Amino acid sequence: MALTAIVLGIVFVIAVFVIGIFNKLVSLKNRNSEAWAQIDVQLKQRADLIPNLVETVKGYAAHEKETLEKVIQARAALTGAGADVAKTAAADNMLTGALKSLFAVSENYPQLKADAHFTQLMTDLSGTESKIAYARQFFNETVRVYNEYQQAFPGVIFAGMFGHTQKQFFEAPEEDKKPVSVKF
Amino acid sequence: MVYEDIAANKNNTFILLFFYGILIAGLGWIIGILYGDPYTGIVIGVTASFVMTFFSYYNSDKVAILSSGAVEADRKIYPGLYYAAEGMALAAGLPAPKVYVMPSESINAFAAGRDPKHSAIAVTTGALIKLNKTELEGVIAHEMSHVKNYDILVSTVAAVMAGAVFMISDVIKRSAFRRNSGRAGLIFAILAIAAAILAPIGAMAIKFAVSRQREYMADASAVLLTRYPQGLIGALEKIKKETYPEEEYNSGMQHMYFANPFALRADNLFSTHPPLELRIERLKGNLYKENPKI
Repeated sequence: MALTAIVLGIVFVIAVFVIGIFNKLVSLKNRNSEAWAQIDVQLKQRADLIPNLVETVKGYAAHEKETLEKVIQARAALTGAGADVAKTAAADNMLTGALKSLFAVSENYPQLKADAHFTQLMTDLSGTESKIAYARQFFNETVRVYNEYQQAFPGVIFAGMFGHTQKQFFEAPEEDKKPVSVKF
Repeated sequence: MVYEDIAANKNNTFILLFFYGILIAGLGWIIGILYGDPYTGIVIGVTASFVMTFFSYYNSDKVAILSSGAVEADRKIYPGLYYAAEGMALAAGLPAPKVYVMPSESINAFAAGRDPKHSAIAVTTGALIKLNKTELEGVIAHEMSHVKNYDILVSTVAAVMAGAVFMISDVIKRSAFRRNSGRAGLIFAILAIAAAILAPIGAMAIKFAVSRQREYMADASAVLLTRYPQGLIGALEKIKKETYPEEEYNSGMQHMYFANPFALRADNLFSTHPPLELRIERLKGNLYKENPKI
């Protein structure tokens, strides 16, 4: 009788313990997907600005076809990437690079730079870009916490059992990591 | 650790509301005595304290925003402010706050609200003109940290309650000499004056206990959000260079601001904020590493 009680007690304690781990894993995973949704919203917002930008730039600098083409391609790649973190990150970095060269090109067109619509688009694009950077920072933080919990004890015992897998980081563009080189 | 801070802030809010409830009921009693009917006074006081407690919990952000003279920021006029606020909210993993602008030449900001879902951040027009993008982000990240830690709950409720106590004790002061027949009237008048003087002091003391150390915490968390301490340091250094006194600030709210507008007058014991030099020094990393809790 006493033995049964002890066994039942131990089983109960273990069950509570496992349920705690299960719930923790679920909440970490949800926080991670919420963070991803936030990035997605920002990326969409930026993608929505691009057709407008392309049209405005065309009006002043129609023969910068190559640069504009790159921006359009990158945008298409980004919208087509779906929920794949690595693909999205690569496409996003490509778009950031393409936009950078577009802005560099726009320096040669004073009329374009003076266009009120273009200035507005520039503000919005740089604003969304920094928002994407912050959303990415938070997303990576949730990935780190989620992955770490799966790797450490006791999460490591149950993570695989409950179907949790390691998440991918949203990698920053390569050029951000390189030291800035100045050419004269 | 953040979760412990949040729990502590919620507890403090409860204690604060309780204390203010008693204070206001007591004030009601004193007013009742002055008018010759202490029981009615108590009933009115208790009722008022309940109403005020609930009111200040649910509407504290609006009251704080209103009494600071801030107006909702126009997205078209201040796109940078919105992008900074939304970016910091994203970095903190919180919903975007409402954004307000206060007409003032000085550099300052505050956050209000009862939880991250009902938060508001107000920034002075001076800050928007004088700070660059990273500095503004630093200031907003500091306010966002207050939002995340539920510091805003305590400080906003404290501000509203303190404002109410100021108002009531003002009424007592004015009505104290109404019943001046004989010795009893004189004693009551003295009591009333004492209460009227003590009430604001008690209110202030709690408010001050509520803030101070958390400013260092918010500075440290702000750097975690922006990953760029120079922004916040730059903003603090610009504030340090400003010398003119700020008369337009509401004194019941000074604990809520990013930097204390009354810093020149307040002494160390009663100041709501640590000195700017110490905040800057700590951000530069010398002191914080040695003793993160101070």
